[in-house]
Amino acid sequence: MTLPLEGVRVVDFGWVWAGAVPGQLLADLGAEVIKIESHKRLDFMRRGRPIIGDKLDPEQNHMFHNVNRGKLGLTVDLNDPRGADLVRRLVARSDAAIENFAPGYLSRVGLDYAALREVNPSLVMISMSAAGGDGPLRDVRGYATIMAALAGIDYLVGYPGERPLGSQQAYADPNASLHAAVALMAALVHRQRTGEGQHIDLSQWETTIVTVAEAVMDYVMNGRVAAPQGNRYAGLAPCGNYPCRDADSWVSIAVGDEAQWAALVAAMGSPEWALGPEFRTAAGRLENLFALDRHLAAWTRGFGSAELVERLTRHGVPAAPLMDHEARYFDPHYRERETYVEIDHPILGREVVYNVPWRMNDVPRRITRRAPFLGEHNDYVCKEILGLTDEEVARLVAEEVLR
Amino acid sequence: MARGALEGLRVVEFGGRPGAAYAGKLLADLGADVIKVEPLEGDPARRHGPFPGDRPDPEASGLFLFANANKRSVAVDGARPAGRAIVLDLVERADALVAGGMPAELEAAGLRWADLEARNPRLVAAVVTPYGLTGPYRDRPAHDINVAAAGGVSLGIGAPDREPLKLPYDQTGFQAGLVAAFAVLASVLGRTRTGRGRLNDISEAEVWATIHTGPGVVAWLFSGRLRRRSGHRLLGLPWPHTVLPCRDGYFALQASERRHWEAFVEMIGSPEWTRDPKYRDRVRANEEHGDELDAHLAPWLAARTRAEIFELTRRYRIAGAPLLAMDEVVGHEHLAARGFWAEVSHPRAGRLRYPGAPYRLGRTPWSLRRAAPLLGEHTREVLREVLDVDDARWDALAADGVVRP
Repeated sequence: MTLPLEGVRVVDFGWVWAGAVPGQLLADLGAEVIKIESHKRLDFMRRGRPIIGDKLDPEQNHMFHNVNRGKLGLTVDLNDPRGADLVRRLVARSDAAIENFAPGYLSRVGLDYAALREVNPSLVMISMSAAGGDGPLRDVRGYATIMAALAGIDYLVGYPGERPLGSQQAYADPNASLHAAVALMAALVHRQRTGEGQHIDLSQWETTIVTVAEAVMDYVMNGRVAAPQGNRYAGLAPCGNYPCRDADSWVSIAVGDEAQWAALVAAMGSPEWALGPEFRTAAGRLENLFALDRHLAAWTRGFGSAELVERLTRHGVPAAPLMDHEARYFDPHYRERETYVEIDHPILGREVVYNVPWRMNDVPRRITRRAPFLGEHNDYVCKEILGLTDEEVARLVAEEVLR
Repeated sequence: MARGALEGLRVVEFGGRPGAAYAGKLLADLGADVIKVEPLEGDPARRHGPFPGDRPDPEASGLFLFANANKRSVAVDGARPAGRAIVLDLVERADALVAGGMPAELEAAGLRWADLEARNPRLVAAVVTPYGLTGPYRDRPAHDINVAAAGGVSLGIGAPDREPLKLPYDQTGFQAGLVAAFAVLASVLGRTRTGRGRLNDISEAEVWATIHTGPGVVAWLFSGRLRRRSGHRLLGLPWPHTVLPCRDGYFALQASERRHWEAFVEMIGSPEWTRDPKYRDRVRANEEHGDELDAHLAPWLAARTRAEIFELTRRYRIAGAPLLAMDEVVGHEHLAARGFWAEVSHPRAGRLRYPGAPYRLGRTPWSLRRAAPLLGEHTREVLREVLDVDDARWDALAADGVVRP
């Protein structure tokens, strides 16, 4: 079977995390994704902590390897007009383009949508800037830290009644990436039917606000400003991460209806406290959540996390261990589904990357190509796609337009 | 009004899992005809809230109103053979199915891929379950907090000596929904060439374990580095990557790259402590001296408001932003200038402001065309239009209680 996006060519200016993942997803599905990089300003991830040792090495970053696998690499100086011209010609032979530069940069080098549409009227191009292409904060920088703070999600992460802690991970990045991938794909569907290309202006900030829509609705309806949520969620009691016997070992437990509560009570061996009137109804459990959490934690502490999860799930209680990298890597369920896969890598020998994020029934779930080295596919792109001669390529390399 | 990118694409949405609802919303907002199949008692999100005035009303749940705008609602009793047949007939005539629930629930509803594919070889399906349709955990029940735990998200959030935290609300629904919508559209695109649909088996836990927390696995294998939670700081990156109080609230600061650090030092007036050799390796300093470093910075922040600090971080081009509360988000001038918020009237909830287009498609715009449907509002319309159910057949279904008259 062929992969769903075979035959689609994508020029991928996306960099760091949010900008790189949409191209990765398209490459996972068989698109030919050509990552455009500059040797004069390396992708931030290429300058990050290496996988082996402490020496900086642009070919050795775990984030870069995961979010750029499957892509081809063209390393070219876009600030040089000859480099920009090369890329314009590549776009003319492509279906889509992805970029997350600060607004204005691509205009300065003659590669914005207005310029690219001239060479390819049916191009689908997505710009995924921090705050969108217009508005007073359009120049705000595109770090997930900024998105999560401005979108209000940072304010909601913390223990109830205490200070906000912030979301403590770049949640806004992959969330923006997935929204970009959906929008891009919808525009490609439209293009397939009509031949029409278009530009998409995505605001990472706005994609993050969507994820706290419940807080937006509560404010709009009731004027209530949501506070740090802890592990609480409407309709669930208990809902929390509870300690187990070993150090920093936790099990999440959530109860959403009477059947699940009855299952939890049974799993605990029907202790007297759980049969008390204050916990008999969902409203009572919600009202007495603090006491419920204390009782439950006192019980969970007596177990190792694996035996506790086994016991709870056997009774039909929603429960799962909190897994770190090691636990997930060795977990039998993720093993069976091949959530993580090994691929060859010239420096590391073999390396592990996350697989295509879901399974399809008709194509194997696998990653066939590692992330590109700097300039690794310059020859392929320049000679085979663009038809440059060996001499022309050599001259561009000598003049540092190409790496 | 301009046409949406997905106009003409018919999607059946089934099951109460939030991921299916968000996938349906993403497609509906871009023009797809999304038919939401609900049980006669209504989708669980109708009971979730928030409610206007905190008075429960299945027609005015904020989560439901947000996630189901632009869709049509068909309410049938899926436990009855005639109800199940209606669902399967709708799926037979659809381009795509987005379904969410436990695998056993979906099978009980008759949504088995072999049968669906036999009846409609062009069908594109995205099935969202906690752990996927295969593997040893397939039948383990789970809510958002459970799959976030198994996906490796929660262990990194919260204070080191206290219980780990999940992200607020049901972020699993958003992330799984996004992957489902992407999988549907990629499969629709590929279908043109092959003429055949596809089953996309989406595990919520795997969405977290791959796109969100997957990259760390290779680093851990070679170095043993595991992510630890660290309160308001993010470890593994150079200090500052921290959220600290200032004069009128909290401010998030990050200066990872060297040039950002240099600009940061200059911004805060080049104090002596920034040159202390023990802070030179800022990744290590973040782990070993984080509290000390935060304390050094505290007086500078305490003397300034969020607006003042935000202005400075923008001038010095470093990553920083005020933590906005929801009133500040909804009232923000930038979002108003972009026309981000969308308004629509609903017969029970009234005219409300909703989060609007997260992306603007220049030629085929995102649009809020109609408010979320009342329960079963379009049952008769859809059955007539899609399944050619005539009045006599409708009356019989209503008399049997398979649909509400």
